[in-house]
Amino acid sequence: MRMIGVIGLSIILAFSFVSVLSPILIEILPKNKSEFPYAPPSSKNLLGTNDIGEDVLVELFEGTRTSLIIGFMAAVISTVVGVLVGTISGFYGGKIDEVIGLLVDVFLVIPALPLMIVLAAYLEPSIWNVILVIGLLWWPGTARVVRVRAMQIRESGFVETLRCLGASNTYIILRHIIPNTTEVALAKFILSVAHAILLESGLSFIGLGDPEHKSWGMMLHYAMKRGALLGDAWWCFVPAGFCISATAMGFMLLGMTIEERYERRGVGVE
Amino acid sequence: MKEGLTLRFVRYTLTIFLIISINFLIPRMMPGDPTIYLLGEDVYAIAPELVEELRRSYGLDKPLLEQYVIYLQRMFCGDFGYSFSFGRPVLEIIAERLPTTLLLTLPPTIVGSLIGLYLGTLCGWKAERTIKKILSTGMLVVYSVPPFWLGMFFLLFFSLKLNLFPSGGAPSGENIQNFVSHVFLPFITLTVFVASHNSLLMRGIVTGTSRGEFVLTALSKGLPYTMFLHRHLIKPSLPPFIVYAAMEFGFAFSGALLVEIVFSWPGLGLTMWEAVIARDYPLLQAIFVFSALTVVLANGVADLLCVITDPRLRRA
Repeated sequence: MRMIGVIGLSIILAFSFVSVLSPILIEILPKNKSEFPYAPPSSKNLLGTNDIGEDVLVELFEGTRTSLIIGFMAAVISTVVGVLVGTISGFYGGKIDEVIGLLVDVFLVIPALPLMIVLAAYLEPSIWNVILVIGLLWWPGTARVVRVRAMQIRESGFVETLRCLGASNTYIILRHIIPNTTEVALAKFILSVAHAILLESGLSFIGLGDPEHKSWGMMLHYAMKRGALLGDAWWCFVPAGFCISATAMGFMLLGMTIEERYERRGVGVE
Repeated sequence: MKEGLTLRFVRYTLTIFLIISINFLIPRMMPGDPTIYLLGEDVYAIAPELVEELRRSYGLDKPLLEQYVIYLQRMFCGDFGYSFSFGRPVLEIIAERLPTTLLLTLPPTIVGSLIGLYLGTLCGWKAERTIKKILSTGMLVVYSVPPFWLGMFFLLFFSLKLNLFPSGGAPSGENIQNFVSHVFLPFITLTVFVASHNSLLMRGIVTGTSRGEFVLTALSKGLPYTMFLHRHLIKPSLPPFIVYAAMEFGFAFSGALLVEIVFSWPGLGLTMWEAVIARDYPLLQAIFVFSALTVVLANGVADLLCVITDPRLRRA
């Protein structure tokens, strides 16, 4: 499985590299803006042009940045919320745990995408709103695994020792429970990045992306709306979808590898 | 899983209550006048007296709790508001489009789950073999592809390049051939999507099941392979699979909404696309409510299936 993780990591690094270098790459590229709409790939426009004559490759580079930022930030929010909720629920147990557990189960059942679409439609289309909407609705999965982990640690000997030494709950949670959930949380975080990228592409595809920040999903939106799909202009949507799938796959591969390694090693508390 | 019927009932009631409440709160929490959201900006600008009248009939000038009571009353009378972009009551549109969506969603869910069940079992049993690792990675690759893009790709390849299928739209007439040709591409797209999700799920569950000692016993009895597979590997893995697959139904449903847009399939998804463009909030919200209720219902059905497949639950 290690090799698969390495493949995932290299995909992530490659896309991050492109997103950091995108301003320079865009300068270097032979781009002829406002040439013809739907010009097929040629030496002038390596991946052709879109409906308003913009270079598709330039769009792809800009999209890399948007997708990665949204994926990363949304995953940070959902992981922070998930770890906090999961830790509190698992550590305190009892009534608190029952209530939170019920809420998590309920939220896992409600389909996320339609709810995100409604919320995003009400809010101003900006990347921060997209990040918030995804981040604040994607935590229940993380909370669930962290909760199980927090319960295991609570039952372990060293926590009991700490209690005998008179450590407060806050101290135990901050210094001992949360640090011990890092590995599960890390796997969930990386998987959340993948899901956030996919969700963002869905939101942008339906037309709720930030018009000032071009993203891959938005390219698919315009390809659908302005007829590139039925007009056979494959270069307008095949590369964009490929990029979405490839980045999401990179994060999935890495995330699953970490998750599996954690599961195989068993549930020992170090 | 082994919880009692009462708790399960409480959970479903709570879920439905939460969906309805979220739907109530969204327009009222957002910045701006909720009346605009109900009427559309055009009407708001043209007819101020109509706005006042509607505000009173929705009780938007009353405290939140009273508004909630009015909202519930309206909902139970089947009044989900008026879609200004379609010029029709929202419920009418939903009643027309929801069955079309289900027609597109349910067959791939069933076929895809069965494919996922077997693929996942094959990959989860003796998962350390190279060939199974390659197969699992392949499933993960498909899992990472957004279903609507997969649909666009299939459309490009099969209908525009090879000219095998129409490029979308609803089937017309009673002709079976016409129906099949319109349904085929979205069906394949969604089946692949559901199968990739469910196979990964099943793989994880079977890996866990195969560690059980009863599996070793069954093997040492020298049972035929298929019998071993069905009775001792798949059967004990079924209850958790059904529960999680039902949760995945939310993904499948959301995916189907987007796939509909690609194939211009006149269901809830295409309606959602139109509603987003027109910023038709009452319609958009009703689509959310009905999508969520459908998914909750599917989870309820899954719970029943669990009771059928798990004898431990049947006795309780």
